[in-house]
Amino acid sequence: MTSHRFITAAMWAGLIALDFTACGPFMISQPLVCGPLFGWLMGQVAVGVIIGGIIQLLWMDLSPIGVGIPYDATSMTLLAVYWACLPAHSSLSQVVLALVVAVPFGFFFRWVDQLARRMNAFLMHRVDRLPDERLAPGLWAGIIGGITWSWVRYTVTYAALFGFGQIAWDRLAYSPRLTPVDQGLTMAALLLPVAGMGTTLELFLSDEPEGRWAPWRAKQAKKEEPPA
Amino acid sequence: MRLLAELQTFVRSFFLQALWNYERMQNVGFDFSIEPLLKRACRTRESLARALRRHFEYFNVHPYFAPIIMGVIFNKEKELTDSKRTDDPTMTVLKNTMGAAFGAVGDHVIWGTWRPFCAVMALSVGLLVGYPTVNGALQSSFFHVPGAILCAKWWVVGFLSMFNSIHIWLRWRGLQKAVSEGPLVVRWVESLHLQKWAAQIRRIGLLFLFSMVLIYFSHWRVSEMLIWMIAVLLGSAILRRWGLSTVIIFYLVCGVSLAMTKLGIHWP
Repeated sequence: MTSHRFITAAMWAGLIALDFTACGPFMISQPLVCGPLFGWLMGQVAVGVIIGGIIQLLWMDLSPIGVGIPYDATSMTLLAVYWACLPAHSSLSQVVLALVVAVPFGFFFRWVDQLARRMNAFLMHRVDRLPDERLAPGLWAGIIGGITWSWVRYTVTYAALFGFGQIAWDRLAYSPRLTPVDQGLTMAALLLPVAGMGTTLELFLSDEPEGRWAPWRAKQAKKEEPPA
Repeated sequence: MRLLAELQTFVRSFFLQALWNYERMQNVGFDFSIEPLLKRACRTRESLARALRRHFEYFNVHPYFAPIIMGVIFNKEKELTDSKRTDDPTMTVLKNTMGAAFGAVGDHVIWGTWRPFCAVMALSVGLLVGYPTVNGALQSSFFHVPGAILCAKWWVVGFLSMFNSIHIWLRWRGLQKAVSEGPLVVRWVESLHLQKWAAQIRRIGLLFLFSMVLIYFSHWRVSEMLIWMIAVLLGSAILRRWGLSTVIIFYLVCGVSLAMTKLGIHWP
């Protein structure tokens, strides 16, 4: 991919990621939407459909409740779609390989988001310190600053991961050592949607779908609690 | 004029979380969104500045219910202006109490029910339309471009229009009702019977999920493959119920697939 395409991809990814943190949320960041959309931007809608569908089914229950920032399924989708679209015609095994590599980055993006929200507190205090007569324009500046900051940090992080990932991907996806696992990964591509349907089934059978992350969130909240 | 202020607040409320922070959460977004309404409620610059400062404190709610609270606060601010008092300490308490209550409702109804329901519906329709079966077998591969485009259209347009129609209606109607009725808007929210609807929607969602499972399973006719798929379906549901992380389930399925091919189990 050319550098122009690679930077454009990062900028689009940054824009899609803004849905949940800055504007809306209109659910454009949901994997079943952002997967096909980003796949179309990368020139392979089918790859986006496969990745978006698998991730949506598996991580259907993720939601931002209280101070808890959930595992970032959007970033995982965008990274996997980008890497899987690197070859002109991806195979099912390459799509699953991209997913296998992208899954841990959901945790990384959550961590980046937590850091960013600490930075937001700094911006908020800057607005708070303004005199009364300048508070209204300060709010505008705070909101525009927050959106810009979110977009820049997402774009830079995606650009870095798209770039470094591309180097590793070129070596990994075409490595002859991976040929024996090719069939296994293809089989995983067929079984992962089924596993997703299983986890979604469990979600629909649960009486308290939003409480599934409660113990984890309580731990998170304790960690993020400002010192007394 | 009030309609214009309502419209401005409605549009601005989409940026509620732009400066979400761990200390006061949605305070900046709330203050920013409610400003056009506060301008209508306060008669002097000083009282407007006081109101903006008052609402810069901690605030958190489900984002789709925030306009309702903004409408209630507008109503209370207007009352305060009419009463000639300078402050009303009950306002912050009311804002936070309503925030906590609507937060719980929103988490259950929107995040826990409505979003998964819309997703499952869009996924099953897209799968049915984009990848049809002929004589019980998949007509084309998952990489078939026209099929994928058709499926993507159903997922993107179907899901977004279905989900957002309710979301945007709730925001706009909630704001209007709260502006005119004040704290009594709670009665309107109650009259929507959201919790009862959520229970019904979950049942219908289960139906759609089962149809999606059938649509997906109908793509393959090899009995050995279907047995494995049923095992994976039930296994992942049980593991999730036991609290196992989805990330572990994901890698477990990949591992099982690799092990199966190593053991010589191949599917056509």
